[in-house]
Amino acid sequence: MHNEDLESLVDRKLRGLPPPRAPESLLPRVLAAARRPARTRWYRCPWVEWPLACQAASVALLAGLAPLAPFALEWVGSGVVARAAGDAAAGVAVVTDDVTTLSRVLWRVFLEPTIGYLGTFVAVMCVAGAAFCAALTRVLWEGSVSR
Amino acid sequence: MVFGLAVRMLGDASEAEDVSQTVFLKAFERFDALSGSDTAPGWLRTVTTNLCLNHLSRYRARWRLFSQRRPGREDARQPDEERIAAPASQDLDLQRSEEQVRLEHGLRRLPAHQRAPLVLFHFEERSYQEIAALLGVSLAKVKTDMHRGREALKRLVVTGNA
Repeated sequence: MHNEDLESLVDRKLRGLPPPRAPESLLPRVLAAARRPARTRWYRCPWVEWPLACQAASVALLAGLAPLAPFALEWVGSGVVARAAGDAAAGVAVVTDDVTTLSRVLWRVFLEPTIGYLGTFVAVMCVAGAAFCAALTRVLWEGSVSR
Repeated sequence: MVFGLAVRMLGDASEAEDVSQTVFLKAFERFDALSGSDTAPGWLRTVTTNLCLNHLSRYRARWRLFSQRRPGREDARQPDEERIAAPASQDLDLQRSEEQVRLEHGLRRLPAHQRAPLVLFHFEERSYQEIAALLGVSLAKVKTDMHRGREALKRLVVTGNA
């Protein structure tokens, strides 16, 4: 028998087969699995469903990075231009140089002059917060005792 | 459609159930995009095919590791032949003709490297080139495997022996 004849014979026979029926157990199984809460990791959930600590950390991180956004955009732009020029080695060198320069400028312009003030401010705020919490606790505690 | 394709690709009803469940859960996750869409049947077929091929390749890799650990084993048959030694007849309709039952069983008892391309060609209407690309093998191997599979099925239909 030729290949074509064999192919058409098998094709005819196979296409004549009725489709296999799914077992009765499949539907309840799928429904049960669909009702089961998905165990997705926290970083795959929407931000509002993150743990409180992760939300606070992400806000702090974003607040810290926000001043760098214009510099980052500029840096990315220069990197893209360098890559578009077709010289990968030169692009890497330019990007590395840009990063170094950017870091130095940021340190000298923003961080170095203000680091002392920032440190003092953070320390004062921590002390003030602790004092406030202690006072609040005392007031609430005394209020509950006097009742 | 999903279970039918899976059971023919895999040759095993319980594994086809696992794959079908995964496919339906994926579809459930994309319910908004798929519901009422004309592309839903095609999406289901594509996902089922890909999951079955992944399943077969994983099984093949496991079998290779297993056989390497016991190189002297005499009855080292193809994994799919071992796996389908027990006939999966529970889901077959008893009302079918004897020949159809034989053919369905015969298809499921073929080695995976013959069964999968046959199912993709005859039921999913894929070309030889597409099948070779999907399976990651040469076109010549696909044709050879399919020819051998067809010969086995023909013997089954004509004489009742695979």
